[in-house]
Amino acid sequence: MNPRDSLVARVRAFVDADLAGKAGPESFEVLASALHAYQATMCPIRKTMPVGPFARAADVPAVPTGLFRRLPVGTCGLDAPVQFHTSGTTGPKPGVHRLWDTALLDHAARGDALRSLPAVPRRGVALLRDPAKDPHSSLSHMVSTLFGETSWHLGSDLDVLGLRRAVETASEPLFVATTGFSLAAWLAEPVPHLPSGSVLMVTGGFKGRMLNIDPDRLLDEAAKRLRPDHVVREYGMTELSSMGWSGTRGPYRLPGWLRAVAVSPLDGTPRPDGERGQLRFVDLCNVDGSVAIETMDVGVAGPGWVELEGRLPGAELRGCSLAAEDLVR
Amino acid sequence: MTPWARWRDGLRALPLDVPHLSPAGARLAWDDAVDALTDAAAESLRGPAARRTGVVGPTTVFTAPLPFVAGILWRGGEAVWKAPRGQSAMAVAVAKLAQIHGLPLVATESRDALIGCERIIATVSDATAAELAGSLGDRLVAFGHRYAVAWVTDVGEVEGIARDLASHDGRGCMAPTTVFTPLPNVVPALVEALDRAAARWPQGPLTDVEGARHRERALLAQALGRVTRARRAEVHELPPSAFEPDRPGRHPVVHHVRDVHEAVATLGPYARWLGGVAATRDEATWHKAGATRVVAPGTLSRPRWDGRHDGVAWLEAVLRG
Repeated sequence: MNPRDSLVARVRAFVDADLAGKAGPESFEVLASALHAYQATMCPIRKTMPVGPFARAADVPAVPTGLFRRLPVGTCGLDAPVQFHTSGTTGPKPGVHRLWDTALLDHAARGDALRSLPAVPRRGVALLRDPAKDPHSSLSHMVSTLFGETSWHLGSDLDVLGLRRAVETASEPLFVATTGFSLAAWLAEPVPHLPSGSVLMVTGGFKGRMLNIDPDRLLDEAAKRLRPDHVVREYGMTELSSMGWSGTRGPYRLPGWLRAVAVSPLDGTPRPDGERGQLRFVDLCNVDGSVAIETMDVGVAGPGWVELEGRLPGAELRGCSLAAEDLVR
Repeated sequence: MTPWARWRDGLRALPLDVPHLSPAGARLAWDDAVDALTDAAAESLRGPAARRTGVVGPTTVFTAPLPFVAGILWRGGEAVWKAPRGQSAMAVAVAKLAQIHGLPLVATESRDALIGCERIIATVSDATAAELAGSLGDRLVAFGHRYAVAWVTDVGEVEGIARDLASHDGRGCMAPTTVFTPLPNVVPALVEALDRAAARWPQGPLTDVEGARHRERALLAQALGRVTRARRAEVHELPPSAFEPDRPGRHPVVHHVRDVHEAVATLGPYARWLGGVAATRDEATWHKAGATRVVAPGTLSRPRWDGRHDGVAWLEAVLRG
């Protein structure tokens, strides 16, 4: 068995144990250290980092998500068969998360969604790009993996007419997947009520956009006008293979194979559980990419959960884009 | 002496209360800004100002509104200095001093104060400028996203680069945070010059996002180039292919290039946002590449008051009634 297949098998055993509510055959830290060592043999950035093993997840060196735009982070090189692109707006190049395949992350994501979400409808309506047309969207991939037959309603603009038709002709509950931004665009139009038993999943923030929409108000309005039985929020990002789930409020629950750590933005020092800081994630399912990543998000983390507060102030603004948000708000 | 001159002379004595700059760093930036307000430059200003002009101050460069405000007051207009939220202490002090001398300057954190302005001057992103233009029309004079670079062709120029970077701790569009050079021996001299500058004008605390970006770029330099550190300074060497006009504090990036043409070509898709260039040679090449200002190292962060900003004759724009 080659080193990657061996690691995938070890991580899968950990995931399956977690899904079964049992302790894994190996500790999180042992697996994270093994992934670090494996990735350090090929990843141009990880090979410059301290050598493990690491006693705590918080000690595993993290690759900033910004470097996914500037380096072929991970073990796959430029020609990886699976490439998920970020949608960030701060540069001409997207960040790329490269993978050999998605079998492990699909398996883990399905298992975690089944235990985390209320009864999941089999039919999906997505305010997202069709993964057949946009194979570089990790979010569309995730939605297509988790849920049954799905119709896709985002092209260059939101397909409002198609959405209305899909909802009004549905004869069973729907799983409606959307980003916060697309949801706001949909709610700017007259919207139908969702069929009874439907679940609304909202993910993503407003990175690089004008912050004129309050996320809590958006969810309240969606609940009032679309009338889903449940509203759930998802927290994930292109550079991760795993995600967190939450209801309309409160922290995101993380699966056992994904840990969040808040660090000092100034020097990267981990902060104690429950203390606010820049968020890092250690994701055992990131076998091909980077086992630990550092985001530009701010929040509070603890064992099995993370609460997102927003972006580091100024994270979307560079150079002379000085008081932009301040002036417009 | 005119009220305006008495106000100008009084500015130097104001106590400085500036977040994210050390006291010495704030004094350097403030003295540079006040020094530029010379009688000779004032005399060269022509035409009346708009009746009431709003100037939107940035979060990064606390002195940025001062030359605009001074020009408006000199030409007899009313000025509203809109400071970023939580950062209005300096604007308030400057406005109080103006009021003592009978000059019509108001400082505020509220954008509502801009409502009655015939003209609004803002240094904002291109996207925001486009959005604001929709509602403000030709009332808006916007200075968009820009960055500065240095073209070092003599090792002695590093002292000037270090001084330009010390001003506002490398923030703003007049800080040459990227250094292009054909010389092989610039980095040791530059890091030493930066260290001396940091001893004289200590660096203030980084913002959170600057800290995060600094660590990110140091990792990039570790992977693709080299990190050279002195006690109080750091230089990141990267190949030209890794050029991006980011600016995490005072720590510059050095790109080694064969000649000025490779330096210009390196700008690639970012060329349209090029602002100032600190250089003593190849001025025409840089202007052709889009530079709005090419001046000697050490003076990039100290623009003349009667000069241009991003290629726009900003005082003319301000003074248009």
